[in-house]
Amino acid sequence: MFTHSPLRLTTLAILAAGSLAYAFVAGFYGMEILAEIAILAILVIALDLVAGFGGMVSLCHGALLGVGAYAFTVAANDAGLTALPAMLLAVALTSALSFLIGAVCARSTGIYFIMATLAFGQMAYSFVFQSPLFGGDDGLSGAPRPDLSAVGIDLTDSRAFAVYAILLVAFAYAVAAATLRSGLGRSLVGLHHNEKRLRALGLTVWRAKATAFAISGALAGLAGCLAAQHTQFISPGLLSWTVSGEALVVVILGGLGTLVGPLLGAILFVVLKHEISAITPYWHAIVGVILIAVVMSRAKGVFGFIEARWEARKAQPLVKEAKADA
Amino acid sequence: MLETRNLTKSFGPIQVTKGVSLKLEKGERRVILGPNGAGKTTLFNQLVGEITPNSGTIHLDGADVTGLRVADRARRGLSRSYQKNTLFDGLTIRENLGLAAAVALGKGQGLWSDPLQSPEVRETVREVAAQVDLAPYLDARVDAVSYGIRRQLEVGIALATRPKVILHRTGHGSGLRRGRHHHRPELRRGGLRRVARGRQGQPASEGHLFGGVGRCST
Ligand SMILES: Nc1ncnc2c1ncn2[C@@H]1O[C@H](COP(=O)(O)OP(=O)(O)OP(=O)(O)O)[C@@H](O)[C@H]1O
Ligand SMILES: [Mg+2]
Repeated sequence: MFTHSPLRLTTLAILAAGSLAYAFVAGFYGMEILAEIAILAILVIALDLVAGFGGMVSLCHGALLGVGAYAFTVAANDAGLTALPAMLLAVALTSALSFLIGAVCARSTGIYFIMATLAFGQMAYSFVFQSPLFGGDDGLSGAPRPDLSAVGIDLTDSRAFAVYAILLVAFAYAVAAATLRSGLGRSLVGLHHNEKRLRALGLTVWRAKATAFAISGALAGLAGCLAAQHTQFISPGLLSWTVSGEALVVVILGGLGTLVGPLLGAILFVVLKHEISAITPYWHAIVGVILIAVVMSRAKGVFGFIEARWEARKAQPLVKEAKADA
Repeated sequence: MLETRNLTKSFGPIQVTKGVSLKLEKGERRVILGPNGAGKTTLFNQLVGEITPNSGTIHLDGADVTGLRVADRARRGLSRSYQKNTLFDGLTIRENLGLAAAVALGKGQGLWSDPLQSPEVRETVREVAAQVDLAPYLDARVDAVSYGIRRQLEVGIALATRPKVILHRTGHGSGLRRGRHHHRPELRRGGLRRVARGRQGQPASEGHLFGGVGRCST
């Protein structure tokens, strides 16, 4: 079951303080990277909620992000909504779509679940790609950023935008953590371990899965809004299944089912991508090698590795005592 | 508490359940016995809702539940244990019992509070843990404890729903086929506590039915 151990809380505090501090000292390039990390971080929080805790490995989260981004842009550009209502609408729409996907896929598990989500993702991709409403291959531009001038904040400034992005990550994390500590979150973990038994105890399994998927999808949609606001240009590539695959890599790299780990994974992934791709175009290969090393180490990702070390360190005195007794 | 009328079930040409009518009164304990292939599992699965009978009805506490699914019957107070331990591995014993109690109390889908912290659930966990002798192990992880403790938890989970009727399943064994079930102290002396404890290596039957278990007053 999900808990906030001291190590996790400390890590969160360091991440929050570190990223905010960095937002104030970074140059333009650094702030672009921060925003990119934030978008990925929200997406992987969403994915870890269902995949890491609920065992529902999804290959449509990239598409959900894309749906959020497109819904936001269309709502703002064509429906004439201002940025905040457009965001709310986009998040609600993505969430509703996710509920449907979750409800339909609820009956399948394992590889079949993955394939079913992939199929939904591909459907969304081709829909957006082919529909003239969404600009097809050319994509759409002109997504607005929220106008916070009333409180003296100008989000067109990249520093303000980076801070705003970090705050959205904090919000997404809080939503995911609260969900995991709710009745639904407890059931979600139970489902992962033994769906059959939970049903025999009286849980309406499909509804629990669909609701969890809807919350996760809402967060993915939020990541999509942020992505659209960041680059102010979106293309169908956002909905590609490779985005989902990449998100899954980040979750596993950071620590599946730890919620804190994927945040570390997002930072690591984006920084590695930029650092290594500056040296060699084969950065995917390097990330691949790191991923294999993480998986082979049998640790729950980078954060799982840290947690295991931390537990071992705490356990040490006990072992010594036992030896002294003997 | 639990009643079937003229239950029938066929698999293709083979009629397995042939007009079974049984009645379980409050406080009663009944055992389903029969040689291999007699249809015990088939009957059990119809009672819990995993398979639907071809005809006949199943009533739980006066209400017709024949058309209800597994989860719906569970919410009406029908609880079951499994022949092979079916636990939430990777969680602690406390979490296992807490989850069962939370779901049974209808808190399994809530968003605004942690059911594991609710007084009702904690109280249930404490009571059930005492009932099946698990109090000292509450914070142990299920995959780290012995078979015997896991077996106790299997029954504990079924009890944590505060059921009206519990369908208890034990393993295969020859003893019962020879009709010597009265040698089993758990059945002779009664008391679920005995069942919960079990004994290793004992002959066992397929399914037991217990009615109006524990403190249930209905
Ligand atoms: N799904 C099914 N499809 C076809 N036949 C089945 C099915 N399930 C059970 N049967 C048949 O129904 C009969 C009764 O099976 P059941 O499993 O209920 O017996 P049982 O009393 O539980 O036996 P055992 O003591 O071996 O567990 C058997 O002949 C079995 O082959
Ligand atoms: Mg059988």
